[in-house]
Amino acid sequence: MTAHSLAGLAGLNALYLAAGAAFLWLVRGAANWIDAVRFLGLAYVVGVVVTGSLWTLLLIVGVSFSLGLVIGLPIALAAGFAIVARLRGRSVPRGGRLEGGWPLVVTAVGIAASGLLLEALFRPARLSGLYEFDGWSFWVPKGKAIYEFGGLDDGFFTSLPGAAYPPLVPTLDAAAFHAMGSVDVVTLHAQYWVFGVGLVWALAGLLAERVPAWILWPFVVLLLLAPRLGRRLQIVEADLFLDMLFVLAAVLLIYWLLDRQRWRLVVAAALLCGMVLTKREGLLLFAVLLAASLVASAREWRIAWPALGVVTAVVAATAIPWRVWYVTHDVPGEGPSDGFVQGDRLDVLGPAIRRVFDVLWDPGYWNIVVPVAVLALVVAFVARVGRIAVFFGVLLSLVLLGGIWATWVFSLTGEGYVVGGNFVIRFLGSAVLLCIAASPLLLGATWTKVASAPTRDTRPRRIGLAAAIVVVPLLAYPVVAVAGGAPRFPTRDECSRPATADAPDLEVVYGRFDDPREADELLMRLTVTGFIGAETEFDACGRWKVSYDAIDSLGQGEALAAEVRKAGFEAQVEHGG
Amino acid sequence: MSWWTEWPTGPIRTAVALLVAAVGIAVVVTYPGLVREARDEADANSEQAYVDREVAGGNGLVANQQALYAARALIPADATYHVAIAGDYEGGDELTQDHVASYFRYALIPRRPEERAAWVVCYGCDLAEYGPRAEVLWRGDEDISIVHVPS
Repeated sequence: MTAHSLAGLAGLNALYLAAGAAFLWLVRGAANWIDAVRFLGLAYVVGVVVTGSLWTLLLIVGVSFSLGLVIGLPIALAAGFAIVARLRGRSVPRGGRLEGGWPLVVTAVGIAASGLLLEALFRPARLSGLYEFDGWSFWVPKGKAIYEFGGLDDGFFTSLPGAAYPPLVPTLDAAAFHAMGSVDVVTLHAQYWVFGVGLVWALAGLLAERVPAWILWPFVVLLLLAPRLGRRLQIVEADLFLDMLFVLAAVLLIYWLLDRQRWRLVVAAALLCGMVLTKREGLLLFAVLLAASLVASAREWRIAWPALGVVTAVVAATAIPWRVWYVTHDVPGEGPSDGFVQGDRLDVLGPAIRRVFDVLWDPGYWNIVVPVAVLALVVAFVARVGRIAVFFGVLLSLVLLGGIWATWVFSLTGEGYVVGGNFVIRFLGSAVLLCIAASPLLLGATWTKVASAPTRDTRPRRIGLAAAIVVVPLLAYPVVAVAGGAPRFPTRDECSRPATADAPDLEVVYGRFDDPREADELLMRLTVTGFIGAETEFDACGRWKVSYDAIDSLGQGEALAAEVRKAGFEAQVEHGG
Repeated sequence: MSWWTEWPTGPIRTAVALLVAAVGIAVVVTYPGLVREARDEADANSEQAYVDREVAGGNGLVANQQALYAARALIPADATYHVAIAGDYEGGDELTQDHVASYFRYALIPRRPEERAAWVVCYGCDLAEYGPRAEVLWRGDEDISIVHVPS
């Protein structure tokens, strides 16, 4: 909850960014600074995934997770990638020229609109308590266990719910605790908000390659406005993180199928490795993504399929160590306990299908994302845009089938249970985020096909206007927010509010204690000494307070406090409550 | 105008433009609501008492926040503990019976849960069953106690 925690997180995320930027520079290079900035979001996400995956694998083989490893690994990765990039002849990005005109202005409006929303979403994230059931039930306990014990403690990792879930996200939580200097689960929400910023930036940066600004940015802003996406960016669970990796990998894979730039496959492979270390659904999503890629590249299978085979081998090599760990620790597996096909539960299949579609079409969860994506797919097929439509059509269908299957086989049934429960809503987040990425790509490809060739925009470049559109609201919002009251950084000492004037709530406080026995002991000593009437009370900061509250004025309180201090105790007049 | 209607590309252009416009309208309509919601939630979070924010998902569930802080203060960091809850315990909320032990596990790390531990967080349990040597170190409202049973 403190500025210190926030500063620690900022440092950690800078390290992720450095590692990812160096990795991206190595595998892709950077033509100029505009290009580098556009890919900064992807660099950040890749940095998180590469660093986090390596931490996870090191933990699995028994390396102790210390502050040194938290700081040292991303620095080593950044330095290593940068050195190899230089050795391979990558040049430092130079200059860069913005394409001006109205597309730039539209981009500026989009950046301002999404940036302002992200700023707004940061405010509740910073001081949010840990309310999510799965968060306190197992995600954060795993992170705390890694932080406290320096590894995958057998006692916790074999007995917590979701024991078979891979530990990438808890490892990232533990890294955040190290960076913050404590198990600050409140500020941890800000880390997840940063993941969200990375997602938005990465997705917008990637899509901007192929989608005109006027089509792209409404969808980017819509991502944040879909209630189950934007409002849950800060949620300390792995679902949205997994969806983020899945969607970015999907976009990179379709791009690779379209232009065969190898770096896209390398980065997609890194993201896919992160996916299978995040949740068991990661395996399912990897499988459907692979299947869609195979289908979409069927005509060039001789070239594409071996490359996809290599990616699969890398992903499998990353996934296997964790599976070995949990098998050797007698943890039940990730599959459904009653088998992958459950003939005796066919009666649940129909309700599972209905539930998936009910959730998918619910605007209360996803705004209008899904109907728009379906229509975009139809329009793209009508316009015969080809591979993009096939890829996303197959991928969305497979994700839905996967959702139906998982809802069917994992559903608890009986009185009080809703088929699929919360699981289906969380799982379908991947389909919906995919819809958000697919829609502008489909519509952009369609537009490119049916619109006339773009004419060179010879009108003014409007760079000043664009800069003002971005900078003014993004600076104004925090200024307005701060004008309404400076940000609070609550501490356990905030309950101690020394009095400086008369007030109706005055009391003399003799001490505050973490241990209730110490409070009782002080109360007894005060009573024996003759200071009658004091009592112990649990305060709003989680401490036991010993105080006397029958105080009418500051003067009376100060006189009593002086007398108590003379007897060898501590005392201070404070505002009660 | 004909650019938008000429067959076959015009209707496709129109469809693309209409879909983007629909998204644009959805954005304009829902945008202020999200900014407002975020502000209200930030204010609510900021106004929370420290202990309410820290306990968060455990509020109600643990029945009495003091039990949690007392357990942290009394049970040594390297000790093991057990959360015992009577089958007929009626305090807390609808999650207490099944999940209070799970919440303590989260909140008390690095202390480890263990079935036969010397430290017991008792929710409505019969203290007599821990024998005459059991020492009640803290007792709070809602029939919750923290007991140490010397081995």
